[in-house]
Amino acid sequence: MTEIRITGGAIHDPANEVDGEVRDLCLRDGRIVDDVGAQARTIDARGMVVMPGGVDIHAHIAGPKVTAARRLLSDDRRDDPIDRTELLRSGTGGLVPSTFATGYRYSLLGYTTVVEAAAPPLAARHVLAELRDTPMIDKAFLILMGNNQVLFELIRDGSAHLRDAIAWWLQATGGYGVKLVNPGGVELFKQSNGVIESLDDTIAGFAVTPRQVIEAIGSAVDGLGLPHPVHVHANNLGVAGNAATTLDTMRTLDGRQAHFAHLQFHSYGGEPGGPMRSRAPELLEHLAAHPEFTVDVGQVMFGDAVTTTADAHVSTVLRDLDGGKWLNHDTEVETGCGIVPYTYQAGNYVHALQWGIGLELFLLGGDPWQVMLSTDHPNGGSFLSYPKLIRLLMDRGYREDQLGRANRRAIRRTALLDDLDREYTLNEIAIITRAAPARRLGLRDKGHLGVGADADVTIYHDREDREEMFSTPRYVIQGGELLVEDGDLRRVQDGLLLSGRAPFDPAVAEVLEPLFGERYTVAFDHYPVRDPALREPARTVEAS
Amino acid sequence: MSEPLICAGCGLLCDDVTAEGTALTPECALGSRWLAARRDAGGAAASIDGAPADVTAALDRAVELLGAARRPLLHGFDGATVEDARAAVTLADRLGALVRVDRAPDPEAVARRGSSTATLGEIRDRAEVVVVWREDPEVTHPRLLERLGSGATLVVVDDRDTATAARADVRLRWAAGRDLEAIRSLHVLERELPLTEDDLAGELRGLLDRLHAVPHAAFVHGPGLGGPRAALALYELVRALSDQRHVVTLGLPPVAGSAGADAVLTWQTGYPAAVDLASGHPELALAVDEGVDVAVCVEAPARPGVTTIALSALPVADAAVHIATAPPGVAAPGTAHRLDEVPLALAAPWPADRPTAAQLLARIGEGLAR
Ligand code: SF4
Ligand SMILES: [Zn+2]
Repeated sequence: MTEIRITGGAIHDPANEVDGEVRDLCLRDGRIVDDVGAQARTIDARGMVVMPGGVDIHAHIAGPKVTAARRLLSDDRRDDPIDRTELLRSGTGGLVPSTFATGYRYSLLGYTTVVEAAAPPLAARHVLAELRDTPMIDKAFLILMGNNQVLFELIRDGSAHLRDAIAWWLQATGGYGVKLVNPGGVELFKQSNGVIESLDDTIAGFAVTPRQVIEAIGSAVDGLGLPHPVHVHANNLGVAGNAATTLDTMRTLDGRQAHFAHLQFHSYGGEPGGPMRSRAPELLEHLAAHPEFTVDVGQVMFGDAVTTTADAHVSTVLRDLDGGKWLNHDTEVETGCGIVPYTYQAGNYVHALQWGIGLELFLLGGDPWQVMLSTDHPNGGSFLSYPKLIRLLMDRGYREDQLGRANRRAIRRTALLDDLDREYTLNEIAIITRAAPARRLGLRDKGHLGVGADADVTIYHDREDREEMFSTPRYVIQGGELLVEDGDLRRVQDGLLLSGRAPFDPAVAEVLEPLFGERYTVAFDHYPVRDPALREPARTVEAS
Repeated sequence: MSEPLICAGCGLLCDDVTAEGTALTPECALGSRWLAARRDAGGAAASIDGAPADVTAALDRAVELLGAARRPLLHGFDGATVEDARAAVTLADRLGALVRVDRAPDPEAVARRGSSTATLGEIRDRAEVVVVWREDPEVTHPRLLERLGSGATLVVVDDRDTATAARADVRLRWAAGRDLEAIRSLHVLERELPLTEDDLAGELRGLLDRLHAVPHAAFVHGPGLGGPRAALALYELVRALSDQRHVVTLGLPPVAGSAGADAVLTWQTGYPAAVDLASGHPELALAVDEGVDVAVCVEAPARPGVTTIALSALPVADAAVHIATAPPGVAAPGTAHRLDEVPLALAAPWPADRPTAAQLLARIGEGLAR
C-alpha cells in the first residue's frame, strides 16, 4: 500500500474548479484520497505546480502504420538512441520512437494517458501487441469505421443492426471508440485514386454517400452512449477551401456529440488548388454555438514531421510535392494508410499559414474545454514539441518573436497580428492537456484531482520559461506510483489498456457473418481478438 | 474427426482449413507436410550435445553458454510466433546480443523509397492484372492464386517452366539476370523517355500496355527478384504507375514466421531485419554475423559452425542444446502475421505438454538474472 502526501503545491484542477490553490494532495492505492496516515511518503511541492497527468486525445503511437513509419524512417533514429539500463529497455527515438521509448518519453513529459487515434480493426492484434510493449502510460485505441464496406451495406439498407455492429466491433477488437477518416473517401481512393467533392457524392458500388455514413455512424455512436463520441477526421484534409466541407460535416452531426480531430488541417478557405487562407474564426464561431462538439487542434510545428494517416490520398498529394519517400498500404474492407516524411518550414507560405491557423484556433477566444491540444503526432510534429507549443500559448513575447520568423504574407492572412494578447493561464493549459481530453474521452477517473480519481499527478517547477517547465516535470506519479523524478525514470510499469464497451444483441453475428464471408479474407470466427494476454488486464469503460 | 486449423505451412496462413489426420481440406500438399512434420515431431523433450536430457538441465546449460558468450546471436523465427519474437528481442536486449530474422525481406528498398502494398482481399477484389515476378507460388504458397481469385489476367515473368507459369495467361521469358534491366526499361517507358530498342522492348511495351489498360494491378515478388536493387526498381516503377491507377506489390516470404518477427523487431527497436544491441542500444546490423560464438536459434534451422541453443519444434542438427517446443499452430497458440501483415491467432488443435519458445526464452532470462 503506497501512500503519498504532496504538500504545498499550487493545485491546478480545472475540472473541480481549483485554480492554483495551495493545499496538500493525498494518494493511496492508486487513487486520490482525503487524507493519508503520518507514515505516508511526503513530496515537498512548495513553489511547484500540481496538475492531473496529461491526457493525449489524438496521437499515432502503435500499430501497423506506425511500424511502417519506423521502417521508412530508419535513418531518422540513428542519432537518437536510448540505452538499456537495469530498469529500462533500449530503443530509438526520432519522430516515431520504438514502443518502449514512446512509453518512456510520454511519461517523462508528464503524460499518463494516450489515445492511438486510428487503428485498422483487422490489425487489432498487432495494435494490442504494440501497446503491450508501450509501457508506463495508460492507452486506448480508436477503430477506423468510416470506410468499412460491411457498414456501408448496413447503412445503405437502413439496417437496424448498425449500432449492434459497431458495439460488436469494439468488443471484437478491444478498441475504445470509433474513428471516421475521410468517410467514403478512402474507399474512393482505393477504387480509383478518387476524392470526395461533396458529402453527397455517391460511393461507387455501395450507393451510400459520405453524409449518410457520417450521419449514421455518428448517430449510432451517440445512441450507444459510448464513453467517447464519434471521432471525426473530416473529408478533404489539407485542401484549400475544405472549411466548407468541415462546416457541412458539423452540420450533418448537429445535435449529436462529436469530436473533430486536428481541426487546423480542415480550416482552410480558398479554392482547391488555389491559395489557401484561414477560416478558423468561422469554425470557432460554429463551435461556440455547438457545445456538443469538441476539437483537437493538430498544430503544425516548424521542423520535421512524418505524415502518417489512414487518409491515403493525402499521402499521394504530399508524395508528388517533393518526390520523396512514400508508403501506401490498403487494408481490405476497412481502410487505407499513407506515410510521407514532411518538413514544415517557417518561410513557406502554406506551412506558416497552417501554423498560424492552429494558433488562431487556440487563441481566438474559443472555449478551452472545446479546443484541445494536439499536433496529431507525428503528423504536425512530435509529441515532444508540446512544451514548445504550450510556451507559444502562454508567452506572448515568445509568440511574437516566433511570428516574426514565419512567412509574412501567410501571417498577414491570419488574425495573429491583430493585437492578439491572449496568454493561456496554467489552468487553461491544464484544461487543454488533461481535463478536457479526459472528460471528452469519458474517463471519469482521469483528468482531475478530486477524491476517487486515479492518482495520476504531474508536478512541475513553476518556471518562467514554460517550454522548459513542461519539458521536464519535477515528478510524475501514475496510479499512485512515483515514476519520474527530474527527468529520470524511477520505476517502470505496464500501464492499463482502456477499452470501451456497449451492450449489443449477439444476433448481430448472424447479420455480419455472411457479409464478412463475401468481403474479408479472414474467417468471421477468426476475426475477434480473444487472447487474454493481448486483451487483459484492461479497464473497460461502459457505455452510459 | 476433422479439426479446424489455421495453417502456418506458408505465409498465407489459410484460416479456412480443416485437417483429418494430416490431410487438409481444401487440399494443400505443402500444408499437409507442414502439419505432418509437427504432429509427429516426437523425440526427446531436450538434448545436450545430442544426448537426451531433461528440460531443466538443458535450460541450465543454455544459461551457462549464454552467460559466457562474448557475442551472442538470437536468430531464426521461420516458424515462430509474435510472442516468441517479443520474448527473443527482450532477451537480446538484456544480453546485448545481435538479433536477426533470418528470412526477413531486405529492408533497404522500403527505407529508401517506401512501397505500396495491400492485403489479399484488396488484390482479389480489385486487381485486374497480377504479375508474378520470378516466383513459383504454386509450389511455395500453393493456395495463393486460388485466394487471389480468378478475376485477373495472370502474367508470369519467368524463363523456367514452373507450375505457376503453366497457369499464366501471359508469359514473359527473359532470364533472371535481366530483371533489373527489364524493370528499369519499364520505368523508362512509363516516363515516356526513349528506350534502347532491344529484344525485350516489344514484350515490355506489351506488359506496360496491359498495366495501363486497368485501374488496379498487383506485382507478386520475392527472393527470386534477386536483391535490394531490383526491389527498389520495382517499387519505383509501382510508384510511377500509381500516378494514374492503383498498383501494389505483394511480397512472398519464404517462411511463415518472418513477417511477424520482423514487425516485432521493428516496433521494439525501431529497426527491421537485423539489429545489434551490443552497444547498449539498437543499431542496424546488416553485415554478416562476425564473431558470433553462441546462437539461440528460434524455430528455424541452426547456423553451421556456431554453438547453438535450439528452441524448436523440429529436430535441429548439431545443436549444443535443443529443447523441443510445442509447434505453434499445432500444439501451441500464438499470433502470426500473414504475408500481407494481417495478424491472426494460431490455434492449438492438438495441445502438447511442451513449452513454447517464448516461455523458454523467458526462463533463460530468469536464469541469467540469478
Ligand atoms: S497455402 Fe500455405 S497456408 Fe495455405 S494451406 Fe497451403 S501451406 Fe497452408
Ligand atoms: Zn491523426
